[in-house]
Amino acid sequence: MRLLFWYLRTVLQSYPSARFRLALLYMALMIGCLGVSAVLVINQGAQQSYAQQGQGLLPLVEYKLVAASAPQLSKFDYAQVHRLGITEAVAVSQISTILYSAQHQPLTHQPIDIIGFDTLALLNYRTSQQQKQTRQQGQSQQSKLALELTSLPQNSAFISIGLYTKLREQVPNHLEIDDSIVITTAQGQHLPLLQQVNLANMDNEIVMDISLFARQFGDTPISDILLVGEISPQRLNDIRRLLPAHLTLLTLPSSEQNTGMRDSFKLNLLAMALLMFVVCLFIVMNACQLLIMQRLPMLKIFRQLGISRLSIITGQLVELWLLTLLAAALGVYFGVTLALYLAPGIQATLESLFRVSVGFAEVSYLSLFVQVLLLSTLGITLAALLPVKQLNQTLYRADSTSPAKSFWFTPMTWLLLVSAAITLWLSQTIRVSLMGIALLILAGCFVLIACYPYVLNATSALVPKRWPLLHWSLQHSLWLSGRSKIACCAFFIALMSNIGMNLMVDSFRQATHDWLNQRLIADYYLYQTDNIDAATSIKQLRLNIQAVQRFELKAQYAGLPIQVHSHPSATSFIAALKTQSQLPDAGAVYAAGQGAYVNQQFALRNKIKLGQSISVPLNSGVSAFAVVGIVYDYGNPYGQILLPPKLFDDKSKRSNVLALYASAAQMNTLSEHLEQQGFNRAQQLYSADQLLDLSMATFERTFIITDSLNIVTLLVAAISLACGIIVLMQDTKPQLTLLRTLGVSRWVMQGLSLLQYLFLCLLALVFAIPFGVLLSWLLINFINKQAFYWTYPLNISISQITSVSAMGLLLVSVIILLPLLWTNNKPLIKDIRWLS
Amino acid sequence: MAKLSFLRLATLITLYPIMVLLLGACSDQSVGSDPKSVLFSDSTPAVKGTPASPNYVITLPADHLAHPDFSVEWWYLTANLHDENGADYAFQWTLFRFKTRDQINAWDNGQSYMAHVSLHSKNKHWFAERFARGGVGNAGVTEQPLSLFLDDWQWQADEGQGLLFPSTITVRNIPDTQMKQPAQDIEVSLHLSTHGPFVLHGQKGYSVKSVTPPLASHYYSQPFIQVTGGLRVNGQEHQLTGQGWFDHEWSSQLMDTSTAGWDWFSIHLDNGAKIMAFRMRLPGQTDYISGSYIEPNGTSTALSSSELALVPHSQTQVAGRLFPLTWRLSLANKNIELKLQANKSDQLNSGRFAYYEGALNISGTHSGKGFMELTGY
Repeated sequence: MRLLFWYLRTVLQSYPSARFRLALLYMALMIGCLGVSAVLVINQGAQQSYAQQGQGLLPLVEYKLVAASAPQLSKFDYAQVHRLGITEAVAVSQISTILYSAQHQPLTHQPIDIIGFDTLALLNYRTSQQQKQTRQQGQSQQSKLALELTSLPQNSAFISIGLYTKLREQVPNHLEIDDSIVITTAQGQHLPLLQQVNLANMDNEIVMDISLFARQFGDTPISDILLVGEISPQRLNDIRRLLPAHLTLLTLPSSEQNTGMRDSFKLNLLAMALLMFVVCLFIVMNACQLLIMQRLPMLKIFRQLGISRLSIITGQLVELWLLTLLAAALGVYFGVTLALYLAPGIQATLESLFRVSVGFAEVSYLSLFVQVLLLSTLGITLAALLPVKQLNQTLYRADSTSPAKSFWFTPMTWLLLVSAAITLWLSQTIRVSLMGIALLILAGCFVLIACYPYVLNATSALVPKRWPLLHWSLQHSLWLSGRSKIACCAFFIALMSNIGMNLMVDSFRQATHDWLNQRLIADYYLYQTDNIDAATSIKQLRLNIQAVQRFELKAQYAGLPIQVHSHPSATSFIAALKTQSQLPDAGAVYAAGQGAYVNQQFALRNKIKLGQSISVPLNSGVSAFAVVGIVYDYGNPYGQILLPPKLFDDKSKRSNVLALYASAAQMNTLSEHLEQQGFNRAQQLYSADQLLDLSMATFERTFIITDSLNIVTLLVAAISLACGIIVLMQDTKPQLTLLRTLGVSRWVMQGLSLLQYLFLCLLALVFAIPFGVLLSWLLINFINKQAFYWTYPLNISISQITSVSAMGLLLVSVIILLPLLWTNNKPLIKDIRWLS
Repeated sequence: MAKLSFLRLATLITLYPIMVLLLGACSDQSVGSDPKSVLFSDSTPAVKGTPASPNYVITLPADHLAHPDFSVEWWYLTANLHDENGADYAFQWTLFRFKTRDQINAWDNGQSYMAHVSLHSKNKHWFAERFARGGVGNAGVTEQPLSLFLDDWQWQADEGQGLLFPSTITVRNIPDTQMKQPAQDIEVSLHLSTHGPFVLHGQKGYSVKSVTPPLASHYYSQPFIQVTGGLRVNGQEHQLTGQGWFDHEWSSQLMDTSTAGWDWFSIHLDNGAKIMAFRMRLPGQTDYISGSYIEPNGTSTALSSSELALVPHSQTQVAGRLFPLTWRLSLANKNIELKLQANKSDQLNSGRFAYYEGALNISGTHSGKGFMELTGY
């Protein structure tokens, strides 16, 4: 202990002479901790805001009942299952609506889910929960809500504090619990008294008893019958046995669809954090190496003084852990600050992208600090392994020799490639796919390292012997490649992920643009509100404007919510559908009312093939249609079925959007007329071009995070490479000094050094391009498909690949030049002195 | 949920009075306030029902059905049973109905239901409660044949014509209160037949509960029930036989909130006579004691406090509270001096409200069996 204290004190005294390296190490550590903290805070705040049918709101909801043949469940079904003894069943009714103030001003931009639960059935859960409380103290947020719901006072509904605050900001003078409620739904129904509830699993929902729900919103059908509470396998068998023939038990897609959205969001963030962690690990590793190299003379003196290698290594590790402790403290502080600073922007982006809400209100610094400290301690221990191992060898031997080439390298490379292929081939879930991708990236690194000697030798052989310096330079690259494996791999990973992400985003951008361009065939799109009835105005004004308003129904298919929308059957409208595949006579069958187009989400989720017959809930009945085409429908979390408008009865709900075929003059007349009714032209009327521009602008904003992340990754990889170079410079000093004493000028030496490093980077780039393309294909066809049930065509854009390559090489050139120029400033005599 | 005191809860006007009151009591872990007494609480219901009237004439079998205009109603069966080996069992089945609102909608006919089932063996206690709203179809009282049900717990008459007996009670899935685990395979199926008439308590079924304030209910019983049936626990079958007691009571005249609780007894004497006795505990007042003496032929006599003495003898601690589990009951006119003692001390029903309900051993001038209900302790 005393020795350790003495060691640390001596090391501390040497800090002024290692400012740069220490700063690099500390910054790398702190940035790593900062990134992890920020991501953990964001992840902690991520909630399942669009919990479908409230299943995320209630405790342990893993199953629900679905009608095998009927379009939807009835109250009779509900009573029947209870009378059969399935007391876990809880009926849920739900509507989604924009909320309005008394003055008909919209209070929310996104629809709010208003959910009614059979709270009396929840009391059964409460009883069983209370009986279990003696052996099980912990309560989930869902349990708390279930318990709170059963004690909800008369005529009251629960609202989350967040949503309440949002609404209050809109109507500060009116939204008082004790006042008369002035919030209404789109249909003008008043909300009951709202009681704030502070539960993490509630976000954009208002929940109440189903009786109150029925009173407020009429006889809304049952959305779901959920089974609430812990259900043992034996009980599950009993329930299956008890169920009437027309009802079946459906395992809720907690990991597939509903929480899949949240999970994919969390997964995405975790991947970001992991990437940052790994990249910081590279820097930390190099920075450690730099630090140890610099203090090597001092450590050798320690050895001569009789201090054991174990003591030196222990002291070194303790020093690193202490630095980690400080870095974690600052990293957590700055990470939380960063997360809170970015909150509004991230909130808007993530809400639109993942349909999840991000809350940053409550951060437990202590818990966060412990998590980050553990993670970073683990990280730095891993990162320090290699430098410490080298230190151990250096302290043991007088000189170092080149490590022998490992015989297991090539088989390992093949093993990784085959494992990645098999994992991806068998993958059914996002996690397995991510694992496959991780294996592929690792395999790529191994391929690169395995190929370096062959490619460099071949290139060297091509260089004529009359250019000895160039020849030496290429041969020296081979030596460098063996010494800078980690840095080269970091650069390879950064390039590969950059190319992969850029190609994916570019493909998505292109697909979205084409899709929107194809679908937005009307001249104008008008967004109606309660007080605006454009269709009537068009008739009154006798304008020759064709107005198309689609029907949109919510239904269930195989127990999952779907959309049943109308889509005109005219040829131009059919042509506007961007199809993934369709039957040859799709348009005709569709127009005849016998066929349906389905979106990719519906087809993939339900494994629907072209020509297959599907039963569609429509007009209080069920009709069968053949699937004539599968259409792209980017970003829609729901399965969708398109049917000709003539099949919908007049009672069907219509969309509030009108597609209008009109001239600018006609639209002007209509707008002027509507403005007298409170129509806001700027916010409620868009031309197709405006809508396209708006959508694409939103798209670009959404992917700013990805772009920024790409640049950060490249930069960090380049820094990692630069650190590696500084270390290597120490090792190559004798050879370089010798060359200089032979008369090779400083600038030629620099040029040759730059050439060597750039050549290694260029090779990394050559390998990164095919792997990057493969990565983007995997992201689209595995990750996107498994997370969202939709894909889009991969667009291999040469310009994207070129720009990423150029940016990568430029960045790495600049970064490499810095240490080279720094070395260049040293006079030759200094190096010669060093040699002696 | 915030801890709410019983009195505070009693002032709440809630959507489901029973629910909230029960929950409140539960969160306070109040023991001994049974659903009956709480439901009599004056400020409980959101909706006022028809008051009980001395002029109301109970007509059977029509009055076996629900009285939805009244605020509260219950159908209560208790049974002292034994199996083929002579082991004692005590069984309770209760369906409560509450009028919760005047407005009705697709999910609510203005009535809510709660059911309790309890079964005691010598060493075990199974108890469960369930809730449901009326108008959905999983709880209610229907005729042709008469059926009382909540989910799969049901009491169904064998024949039509609205008769309650002979009938069969079936219950499943009752957790063992000691094990804290659902006992999914427990099933009780009891057949009920009668060998005597229904008995109207008080003045032809108008049963006064307190003079000040004047509170009363409509109350009749069937004390002559022969019970046979089976019990299946964890795959083991037991044949049960014994005698049961059925109460049906409804009211809208509610008790004062300061009512402390009540003690109620049903007694099957071995000579064939039956006794119903209760004591209302009213703080600051003399306890209100009343009852009925029923001859083996079914002839009943209302008992006033001058004729009936009902005195707690000793107290026992159950779940941290003292309950009078031994009583003395005297009917001087009938030369009856009884010692009433709980079969076992742990007969607490730990539902929303914890109240004491269990079997009695009877000794003294007469022997017999019975049931005891203690609330408000």
